[in-house]
Amino acid sequence: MFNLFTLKSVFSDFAPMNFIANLKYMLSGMLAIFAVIGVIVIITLVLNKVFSNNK
Amino acid sequence: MNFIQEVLSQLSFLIANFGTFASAGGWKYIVMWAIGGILIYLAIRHDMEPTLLLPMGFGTILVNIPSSGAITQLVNGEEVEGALSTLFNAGIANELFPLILFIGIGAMIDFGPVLSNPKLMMFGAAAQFGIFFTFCLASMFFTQDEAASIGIIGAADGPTAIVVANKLLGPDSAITGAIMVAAYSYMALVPIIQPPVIKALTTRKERLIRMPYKGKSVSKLTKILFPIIITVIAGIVAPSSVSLIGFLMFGNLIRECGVLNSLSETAQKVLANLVTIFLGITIACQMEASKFLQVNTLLILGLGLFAFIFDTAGGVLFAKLINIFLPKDKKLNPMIGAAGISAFPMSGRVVHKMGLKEDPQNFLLMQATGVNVSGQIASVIAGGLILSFFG
Repeated sequence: MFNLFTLKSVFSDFAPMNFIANLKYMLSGMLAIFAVIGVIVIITLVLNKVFSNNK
Repeated sequence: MNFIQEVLSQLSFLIANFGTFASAGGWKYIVMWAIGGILIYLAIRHDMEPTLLLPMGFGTILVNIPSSGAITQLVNGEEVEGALSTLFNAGIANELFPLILFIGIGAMIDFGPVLSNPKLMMFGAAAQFGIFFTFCLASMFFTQDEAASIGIIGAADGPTAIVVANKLLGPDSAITGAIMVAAYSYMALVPIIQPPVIKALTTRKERLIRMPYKGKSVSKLTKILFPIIITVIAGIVAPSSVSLIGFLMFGNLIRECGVLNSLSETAQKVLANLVTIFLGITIACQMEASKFLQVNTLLILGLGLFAFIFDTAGGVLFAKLINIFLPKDKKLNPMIGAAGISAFPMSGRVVHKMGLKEDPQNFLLMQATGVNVSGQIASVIAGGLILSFFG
């Protein structure tokens, strides 16, 4: 179980460069989420404006 | 006297057998029983997500009884299906339980606070930072799909974590159980995890900022159109996860339409409670000693904690960034950014309580709840994006 062999096998797969390689997903993910939420915010503002009297 | 002798001999027999059981690898089961016991203890003693941690804790004990009939076992070379395995295949392997639970959650959520101040939604987006950052961290130790499934622990949203992990890794993956446990356990630990992070990133002066709530009324039509429009937008962006947001918004539409009050009540109470019972105990299927007691599990639990910390930091730092551009009298209390993680409603309450602790007249509940609700939407969208990238 938690023996040195298992520990060694976990860290034998350690690939620090993957962090850098995957930063592009972090960037595009955060940009995409802000873009989608931004669109939702704009639509909500428009809905509030258009239907403000229709309570 | 004979009776006492008999009891003593029975006891010594039990102790002798227990020793054999423990030395033959049975100690792993004992460790899992202890883990199950801890989950039950946290649920009952500290009221931490008891609806999920208690069934999960009991289920952990149930599936870790040697040759437990609750899960599928090989008996004389023949596969005998256990009841929990049947439930797992029927409700979790195909993502049915988490999705049905989303109907109940959708029916519980009042989007009013966020609809009256839609700009709060941006904090929900910022607080998903932990998902993507943890994905990058996890990719140093795991494959890309595994790392993405670990990152989604930061969605602070059990059903989303289950759906994403199941889609990317399949239900039989050795790490799915650890991901599910981390997702639910850390949700319960939000009141412990978030305050030190918020305090470390804010000054007392910032925590004292008051944000008077100007609640604007929202029309019924807006409340009805909102879930429909969100479903369409999220569906276009991430079609593979449209069921996640769709079921959540369907529940909300039932709530807001005004003509399905009894269905709304059923979804909020009976349906959500029923599914929660089955979900909790069925997740425990993944808590078998052979799968769970791995070094990887510790790593996943650690990375899950990072995800929650960086989510909180993302929300708080985004609020501080916005404050740079706001006039002095319109500054935001950066603590509300932390409520952008999806753990609803704990995260909103944590921020509200922290505000009150600094200044008993500083009421941040409505703003924090608005941000918290938007975090629910953002986390599902983040899950969809992860699936679009790697699914």
